[in-house]
Amino acid sequence: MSDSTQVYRRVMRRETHSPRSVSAVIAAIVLVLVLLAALVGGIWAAVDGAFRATALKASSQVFETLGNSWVVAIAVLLTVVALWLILLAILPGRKRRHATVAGRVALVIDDGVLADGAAYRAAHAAGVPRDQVSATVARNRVDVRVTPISGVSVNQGAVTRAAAEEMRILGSNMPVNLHVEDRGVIA
Amino acid sequence: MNATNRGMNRFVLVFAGLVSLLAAGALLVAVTPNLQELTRVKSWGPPTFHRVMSWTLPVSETQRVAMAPIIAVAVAALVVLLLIKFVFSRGGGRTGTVLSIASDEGTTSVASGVADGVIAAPLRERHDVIAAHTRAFIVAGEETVHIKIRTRRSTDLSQVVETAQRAVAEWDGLTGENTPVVLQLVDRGVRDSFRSEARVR
Repeated sequence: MSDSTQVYRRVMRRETHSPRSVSAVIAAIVLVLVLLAALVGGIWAAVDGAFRATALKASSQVFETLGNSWVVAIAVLLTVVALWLILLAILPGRKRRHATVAGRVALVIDDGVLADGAAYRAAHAAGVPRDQVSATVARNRVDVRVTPISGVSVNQGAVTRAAAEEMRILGSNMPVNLHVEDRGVIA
Repeated sequence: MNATNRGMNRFVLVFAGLVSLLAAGALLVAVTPNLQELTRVKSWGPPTFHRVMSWTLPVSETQRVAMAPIIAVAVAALVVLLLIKFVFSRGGGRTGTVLSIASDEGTTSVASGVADGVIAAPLRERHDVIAAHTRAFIVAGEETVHIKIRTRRSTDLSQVVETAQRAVAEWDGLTGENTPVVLQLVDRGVRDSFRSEARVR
């Protein structure tokens, strides 16, 4: 990595974390609508006494019609929404991706693609069809599950090494946990 | 990847969350006598309201106008304008130029389509690549090439990355510059999972 260090660091951070743009824009639009309604209503009530009286009567009627339990339910709903919004703002919002600098380029790979790569290598090393290998990529490790062919043993060291080598080439030095099923299947 | 200010996204979320909490609290206090007693809102609420509303300024020799509603309207209008500006300022950062080389004779600009032809085209030629396309963004003041690649299931990813690295090296040789390049391998979509493993031309 040369003078692109700063760019790559920024890109990798942005590509592996959620921007929260959609939820922020929805929250902003709702706020704008509520504030506009309050503004128009407030100004209208300030200059028109008749409207003010009608609005006050209507709002008290709404409270009466709804009843206390419904108002409490709305308040609870608003609290849940508030907590959800604050959590969205505070939590890092990691995406299921891994990023690294691989030689000349910044490499960003979805975890599903990494898992597919590990499974492909593991299947090749184990000598089983690709459908008999599944892999999941967590934040700091790769789990590979191999269902062997009945009566044919799997070289666990070779499979683990192959999957780990694929991870290394793709810039993610995560440890590989291999699990070989006890019961094989007929290929 | 775009130029959205993400800190501002989170600030708006916190702001909206606090407004919702405030509204929920106000509703609860309005209908729960126990909370009204606990917060003693009836003892300090009306006097505070009258004190705030008593702040007036003269508009003529005989008339005075309360300032609090005017300030509230002004603040609400300002918040509305800022929020509208916020909504329309999301995204951006894309550029049609991946490289600008200034010299005494002038400036040479390279369009992002050229990068797509040099870097993404060799990837699209591969049978195990479903799609590859290039976009250019300004990141930290630098033009950055972003290549998004979608591969088939059971693809030798190291070979795909190697092909991309070779294409980038060719791009470097062509331009004589080290433009930052981001290579992204993305998951297949639901539609892609129904595609055939083989590519027929």
